[in-house]
Order: sequence, then C-alpha cells, then structure tokens
Amino acid sequence: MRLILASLLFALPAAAQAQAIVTSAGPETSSVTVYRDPDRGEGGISASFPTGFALITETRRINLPAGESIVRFEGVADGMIAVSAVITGLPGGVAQKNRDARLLSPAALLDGSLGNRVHLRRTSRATGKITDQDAIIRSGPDGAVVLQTSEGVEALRCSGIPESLSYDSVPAGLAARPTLSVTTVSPSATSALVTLTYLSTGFDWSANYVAKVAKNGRTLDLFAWLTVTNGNASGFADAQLMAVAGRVNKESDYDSLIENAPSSSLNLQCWPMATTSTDSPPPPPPPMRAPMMMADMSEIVVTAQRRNESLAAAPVMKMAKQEELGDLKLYRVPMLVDVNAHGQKQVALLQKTAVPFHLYYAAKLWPLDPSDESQPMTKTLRMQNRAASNLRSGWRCRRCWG
Amino acid sequence: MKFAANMLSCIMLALPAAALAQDSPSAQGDVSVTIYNNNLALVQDVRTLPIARGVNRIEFPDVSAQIRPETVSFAADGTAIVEQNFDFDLLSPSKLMEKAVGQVVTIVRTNPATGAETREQAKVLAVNGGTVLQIGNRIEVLRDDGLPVRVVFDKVPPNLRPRPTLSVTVESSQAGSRPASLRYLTPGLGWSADYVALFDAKAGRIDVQGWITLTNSTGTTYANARTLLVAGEVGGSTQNYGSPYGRPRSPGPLRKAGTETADRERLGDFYLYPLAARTTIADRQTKQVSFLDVQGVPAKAGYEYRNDWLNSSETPQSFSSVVKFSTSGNGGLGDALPAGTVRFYMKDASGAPQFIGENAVGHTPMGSELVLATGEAFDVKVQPVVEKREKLGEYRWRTTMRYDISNAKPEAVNVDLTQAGLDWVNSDTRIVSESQPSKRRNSDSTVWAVAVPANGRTTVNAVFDTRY
Repeated sequence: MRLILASLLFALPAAAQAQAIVTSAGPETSSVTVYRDPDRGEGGISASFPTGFALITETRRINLPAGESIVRFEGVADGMIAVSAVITGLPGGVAQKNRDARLLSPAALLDGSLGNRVHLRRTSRATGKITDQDAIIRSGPDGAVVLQTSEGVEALRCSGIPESLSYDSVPAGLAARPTLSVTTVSPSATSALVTLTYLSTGFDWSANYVAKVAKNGRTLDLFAWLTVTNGNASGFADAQLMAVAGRVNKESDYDSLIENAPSSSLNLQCWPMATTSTDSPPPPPPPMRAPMMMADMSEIVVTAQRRNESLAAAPVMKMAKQEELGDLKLYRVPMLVDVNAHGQKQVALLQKTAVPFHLYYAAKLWPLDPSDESQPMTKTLRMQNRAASNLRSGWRCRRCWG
Repeated sequence: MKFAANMLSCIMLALPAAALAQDSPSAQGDVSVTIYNNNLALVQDVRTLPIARGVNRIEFPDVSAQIRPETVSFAADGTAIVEQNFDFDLLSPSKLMEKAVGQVVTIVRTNPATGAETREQAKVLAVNGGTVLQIGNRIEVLRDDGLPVRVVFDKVPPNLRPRPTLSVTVESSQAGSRPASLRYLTPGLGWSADYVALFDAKAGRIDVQGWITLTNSTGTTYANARTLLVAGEVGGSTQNYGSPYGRPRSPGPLRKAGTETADRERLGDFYLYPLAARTTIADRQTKQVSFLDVQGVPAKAGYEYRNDWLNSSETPQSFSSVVKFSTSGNGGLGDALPAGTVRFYMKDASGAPQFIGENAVGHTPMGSELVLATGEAFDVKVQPVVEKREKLGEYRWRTTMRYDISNAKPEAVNVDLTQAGLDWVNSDTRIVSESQPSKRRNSDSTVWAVAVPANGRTTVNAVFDTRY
C-alpha cells in the first residue's frame, strides 16, 4: 500500500519535466581577464575581499540531444553576475537563460516538504531504541516545525528527546549551488563546443613597482609585478590570465546583481521554556569580524645596494605582453597559469634597466604659514617614461616617491 | 493490532499528502503576469473552484507572499463578495501552545533510566515565559526538571497557517464548479533590459543583443504563466539615471530623442514586450529572454571631457571613451530600447571578446542618438589650466584658459572638449578669443571638436569675459 502511494506521489513531478537536462560539470579551457576596482584609487588590494572584477571566458563540450533541452552550467565562479552571461556555440541558440538561487539547505528541504509526508525518528537515551513514525509538516520553516502524526500534533525537538526528520526525496528545483541554466532547441543530437562568457566579482589586480638604484646613483632598474587576487571559492586551472589597465565605467552595483539565496539556516524555536530556576539567557557573542588583509601596494619601493657583490634578482623568463584594447591596455600572461581559489598570484609585468633619473629635494610652501622648526624636505626621484629613457611603457603611477 | 495501526496511519496520511503535494503544479490556475519596470507586477490567476450555494469561504494558497491585499479583486459568475481576509497568523510551536491555553493536551514522560513512557492528561493554564500545567490536582511547570516530556496536541488550531493566506468569503446564487479570477498587485517582480554590445572600432560597427531580465523575489513560483512586460514605470515613481547631487559630470547618453515609432505592441504610452511562450517564473530566479539581435549597426568611437568652471588640474586627466550610435530604423539599431544596462565588449589581439565598460540607458525612443561613455581613455588626456584671472571692473573678470591635450595612440583622434559652467551666477558670458571656433551648445557650455595628431599634442586656448 505504501509503495503504491509513494510511486503515485512521485510520478507526477517526473512527468512534468519533459525537457532533457544536460549538465556541464566544468570547462575545458578558461581565460580570466582581471579588472581593477575602478573606485579603489591608489590603495592596496584586499586579499580576502577583492573589490574588482573579472571577465571569465570558458569553453565547454556539451552533448545535446535533439529537441528542447536545458543546459546547466556547473563550476562557475560564485561571484558570477548572471545577467552578464553570454553563451555562443549552441546550434539552436539560447531561448532563455535562468539563474536559480534557491539552494538545497535544511530550511529549503523543510519548506519544500511542507504538507508532504516525512519520517520522524526518535531515539531513546536510556535504551537506544529507535522509533520511526510518519508525520506531515504543518508549519513553514520560519518559526519552527509543527508536525502532525497519528498520535496528534507535536512540535519538533521541544520534548528533550533526540528527534530528527528524514525525507523521501529532494524537492524539485533545489540545487547545491546557484546555477546558470539555458534553454535551447537543438535541430539534431550533436556535440557542441560552447563558449560561456561572464563577469564575476571577487577579483582585483594591482601593479607593484620595485626600483633598484644602481651603484653610480644615476640610473635605476625598474621591475613591476602584476599581482592578481582571486577571492572566489572557484579556481581556474590552466587558465589564460590577462589584466586590463584603465578605468572602465561601471554602472550597476555588482554585489546586488548576485542573487542572494533565501536564508538557509534553520532556526528551531520552541514554546516558552522558562522554568522556576531559569535566569535570562546570556547575550550571544558578538559576530566575528572577518580579518582584513590590507597592504598599500601602489607605491614604488626604491632599494639601494651599497655592497659590491652583484645581488641581481633572478632573471625573468616570462613577461606579460601588452596589447591595445580600444582605449585600454591589456596585459597578457604568456603562459597558462592556475588561478587558484582564494589565492594571490604574481607574474612579471615589466622590467626596464638603466633608467636615468634625477634626484632632488622638494617642499611645498604655503604663504602665511610660519613654522618655528625647520621641516625636512622630501627626497624625490624624477623619471620620464619615454623611449629615450628606456621606460617606454604605459604606466599608471601618480605618486612616485623614494 | 500493529498492522491495523499501521493501516490507520497510512489512510490518515494519504489524504492530506496527496492534496497538498508541493512538487506537483501548485494551486494556481491559468496565470498571467504583467510586469512593470519599477518592481511591480499585476498577477491574474484564474482557478476553477467548486463553489456551493450560499456563503462560501474560499482560500487561495500560492498567491504571491508579498501580495498587496488591498489590491485584490475577485470575480466569479453568480457570486457576490462578503468579505476578504489576509491571514498572516503563522503556525509555530509558541502559537500552538498559546492557543492551547485552557485546553487539555497529552503529555508523555520518558523515564531517563528505562525509557518507559507514561501518559497523562494535562490542562494548559498559562504560557508566559514558561508553560504552566495542571495535571489532576497538581500544578506543574512544563519540563521544570529538564527531563524529556513530549506534548501532544489534538489538532492544529484554526486560523493558524504555514504561510500567509488570502481568503475570500462569497455569497453564491448557484452551486457548481466555475472559473474564478483573482487579480492583485505585488512587489518583488521586476524587469530591466541588459544589452550585450560587441564593438568593432576599426570597422565602425556594433552588434547588439538585447535581453529582458526578469527577477522574482516574491517568495512564490508562478507556474506556466503568460508573461507580458511593460516598458515603463507606473504609479509615479521615477528612476534617476544621473547622479542625484549637482550637475552630472558628463551629460547622459541620450543626446537627441528620436521621433520614430518602433514596431512593437503598445499600451497607451508604454511599449509592451510579451514573451512568446508561457514560462515558469520560479522563486529567487533571474530569467533572461532575448528580445533584440541586430548585427553591424554603424557606431563610432569618440572622446569627451567636460571641464567645470575655473577648474585647473595639477595632473592631466583622462578623456572619457564613448561609443556613439543611433537607434533609428535608417542606419541604426531600428528599435526602441527599454531602460537597462549596456555592456560593451571588444575583441582583443587573439580575437576573444573582452569587457571594455558599461553604461545605463533610460527608455530610449527609436531614432535617438546615443553617446555612451565606456570608461576613461588610457592614452588620451587633457590638462585644463587657468592661466590668469584679470579684474576688469567691479563685476567683470577676464579668464585665460589653456587646455593641453595629448594623444599617446599611434593614430590621430578627434575629441570633444567641453567647458561648462559659463552661466554660473550670471549668464552674460562672452568668449573674447579662442584658438579654434567652438560650438556654444547652450548658455552653460561650449564645445571644441579638436583633432589631435597621432603620438602628439594640441593646445586649445580661450579667453572668457564673465561676471565672476
């Protein structure tokens, strides 16, 4: 009897989904182009909460059946801005793009099972005996759980007896992570190479310059690191890494475009439980602030060597190549690299040797601002980034000091 | 005996489970949704309901969880509305216990040593902070000793629901099943447009794809709904695309409003975008449907800089990179554009598209001229300098301006340099002399169209005679 009932109950949703569901687990190749946070100014990047963004391009091999199918893209960055996703290479084009933010969680499981049959299991602390009972959930997940059993109406976990619920199936439409899916109608069964391009938050990059003054005190060697930070939980193995310099216009608030899942925590509350001996409960501990790692990294660090022996840095084999991208500059890392989850990566951006510089002392004076003490002047290095100075390169540095 | 109990529970559970199965399409009937831009939607839900003769109370589960109950209207043949209720008294253990005050419940005590269960009938006296029970002629606090006690209630009290529920009481002159339509407004459903623009600067072309982006945060899924999107805000709320404070740094993208009518369905002053097929709008879903795909629209890159009155920069400033195109049917996109965000892409040296910036457009009629700033140019800069200020009289000043423009690109560029703020305080400003003629766009600003040579510099000089 139970078997028949169960099969009747679950036959319906299965029949409703006529479209084939094709899941793409991960990309074959990926490329990551990182953009600075346009509003960061000259401050350093935060390793734990990067505030810039990236354009991610992935190619995926997808086996499509003929007719209408839903293609689910898994393994995308969690900071994905779904509205920016562009999908090319599907033979039937894209009829509809959907981003579902309802996630499988204890609360969603409960909410999705409202009115359905679940199993209530009680374990006796004294004997270890397990009692299984069928129940129907009568309340939503907000307050707590009220169950109807053959004995009557009870509240979950208010009795002091270990109690738990188990479910027959996962309610439809709940995914482990926010998922992008597209609807496509394929003229024939085929294997398609699909390109997925999207913007994602949680990236940033910065250029860090190190200038080494030569022994003669007249020239310096300039070296720059391209520092890329990925604050996402997803990494990109063997990715083509690029960085774009220049300020791009950003209109939408990217954080608000990343749909937040409904509260996934399950808050079980019982009826008032005060007894003749209870005090007011202690206040909850203050929430922990996530540690912020900030470093001001936009300045040029000037080092000088007084020693005679050569302490030249290891020679750099691979240097990022600069390309023009409209009115912006694109720096392409010449080899495939791993952009790791929650990781920071540095590759050589530029290296210039024997750059002539001029050393002078500067001070800014204001009229009617008498000072009783003498003030130190600022030691300043002046260079020109032109070909004759060996410094021909687009250079974003507004405040260079030594 | 055990078998019989099992059978009993099975029968008891079978009925409600089948009636309320969540996964099967909800209690909604034929749903039509009309969505406006300002986070507002009109939902029409036609359900076939059995209505008996006389007074009926009809519950509507699966309406929007954010329903504005004051906007509900109900219609069914042969019925007249008596009253309408929106109940949001939700079932929870606390409510269950509070509603049981004065009633008898069953308590089941478990012996912690042996696991043996003892059942007793108890009357709930009060629920204030804790629960006070009367068992026989003893008064007890529930679980005062912390030992396990189960409380079993006979039934769920009426008017306590798992979710907020709308109910309508109607008086029916006849009996029988008939379609009943429910209409209401709900916030939480909204839409905007997202455009993907692939810009080819060398060929002077742009490919534009338009997507309707629909978001649902109402807490309810609308199954198999006929969906209509209205490009426009109803109810007087306005959306401001410029900066709310002071004058925007550069003028908005719409430079010339069009006069052509797009080939779209219209409703009064709004354009309508119906979705071709019925669609399910799931809760917490962002859904995108294509509505525009135009290839090879002529487009031009340009540079703009707007200098405020008496602004002198210590360091050169970047020009804004802009993309100019038309929405005209003749040499343009050929459609009206609902408000949204345009994201620009450009192919890099390897042919892969890269993001070069985004900007917002308001509702744009067909035939308009659009100039959208994508970002700041790396290689094209200007340094505005106030060279001198001379006092000519009590209220007259002469200002000598110099603008040093540099171009580090290997090709010549044309830039638009605007000096704004000319009618600040008083508007009788004159341009005494200028190194090349400018176009006075309005009383406030004048524009020089400057050609800057490849890898070169140009200087624009101007002398203004002003009141201040």
